[in-house]
Amino acid sequence: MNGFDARLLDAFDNALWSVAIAVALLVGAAHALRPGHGKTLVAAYLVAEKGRWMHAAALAVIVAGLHTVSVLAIGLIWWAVAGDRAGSIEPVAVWGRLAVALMVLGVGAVVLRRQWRAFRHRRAHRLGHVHGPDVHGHGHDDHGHEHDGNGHHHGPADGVAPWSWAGLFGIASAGALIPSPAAFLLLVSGLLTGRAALAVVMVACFGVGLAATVLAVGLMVIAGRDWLGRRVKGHGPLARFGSWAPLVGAAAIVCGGFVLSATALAALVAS
Amino acid sequence: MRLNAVVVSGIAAALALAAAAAPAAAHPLGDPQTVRLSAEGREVTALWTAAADDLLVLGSLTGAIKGQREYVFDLGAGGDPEPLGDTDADLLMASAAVADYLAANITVTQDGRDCPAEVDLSGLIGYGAELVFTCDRAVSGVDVAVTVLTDVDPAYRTVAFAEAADREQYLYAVDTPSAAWRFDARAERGSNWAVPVSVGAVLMLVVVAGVLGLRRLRSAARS
Repeated sequence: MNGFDARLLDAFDNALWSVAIAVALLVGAAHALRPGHGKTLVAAYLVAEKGRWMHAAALAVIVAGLHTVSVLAIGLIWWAVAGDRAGSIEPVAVWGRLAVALMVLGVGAVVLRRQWRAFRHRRAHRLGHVHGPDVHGHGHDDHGHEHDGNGHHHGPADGVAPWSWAGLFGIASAGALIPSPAAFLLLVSGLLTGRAALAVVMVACFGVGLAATVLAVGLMVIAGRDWLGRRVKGHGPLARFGSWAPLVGAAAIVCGGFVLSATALAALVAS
Repeated sequence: MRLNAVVVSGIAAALALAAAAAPAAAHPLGDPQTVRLSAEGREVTALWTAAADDLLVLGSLTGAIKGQREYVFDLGAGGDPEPLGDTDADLLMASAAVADYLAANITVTQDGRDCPAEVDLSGLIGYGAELVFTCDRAVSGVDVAVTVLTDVDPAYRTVAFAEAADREQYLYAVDTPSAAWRFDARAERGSNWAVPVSVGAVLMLVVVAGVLGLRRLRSAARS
């Protein structure tokens, strides 16, 4: 257990309600700042999906809810099986990590495929703007689209990307599905000392703290991207480079998924 | 050219793995320390278990596990790096210091007199380290103190379970290091389901609130 996370248990044991809740918020926010809590994936996802503030907000809500739910669920499972000698949450943690890794990999693959298509599409437009529908080679005629030379309406529109539940949950799970050991121990302490209400409230506040950090990272990424986008407008080579950004973001998610899968598999083999 | 690509991607993969290994290792979720108590005749048995990372903390605290490990790299066909000497598990289980530490931090007293402990570490990695305390008289009421690892960090705590005692569970923490147990009275079973049920209710509430919040956010995003 990390030294700062241990303050969560200190506060639960000794502090007043109000102080304990404030500590839980703070420790949650600080906890998410440590490496490996999905911040990079959140950033990559927002860049890849051209996310807006509500994407970042939705990710934060899911992170807060998912972490709370997973602490409560794993706490209850432990409570139910702990009297039994064989009961252990170790497999939950190990297999959970693999599930998270595969989810991230899946989301990455879907996003990469979409962005690659959109990228090729944009390039085809740029290279030969006046062309027949046959140049695309992905069968627009079959759908009966009205093509009037250069007024295309297909493909993801610039700006708001479609909101995908699977994508949001997949990315948020990287930071929130496997609970913090300190939050888990806090809930167990609450269940055993008859102060479960305070423990549950503190666990929820810990999740809100996590989400605040994720939201801050997301908003910073969006602000930075938009600023850069405004700056490079008109600069030919830079703007072209900017059109690569979603592709790079999607590739980063896939890489992250591979790395998570490799470490999860290594842990599974070692256990 | 192609070989270059393979080498570059290999290096990239290795770097990525190295970057990911640290955060993954920094966040282990394991079971809390537990101690299972039972009594028979003059003996009290305590079975102590801890998650792997806590065992490593115990190992470095008692000096059973040294900070460095030597590896042999065999450069022949199929040569994997092999650690020299005993594994961490072997070192822990063979360590007298670990046994002494556990005996000093899990204690049983009967009427204020210590019951001496015998420590068996052979199950340390699996079902737990077994401490058998032999008291002067047949055990009915004893005080059991557990302070394992609270000297490393006061946030460490141990969940105690007992068979055939006046209570089923107890939480040993730095402020509650000792508790009296009666092994001649049985706890009433099934009375503590109110708490898990209400935690389950809160869980449902969080799910419902989350789904509603996200729907609102989505409809706000659309308009």
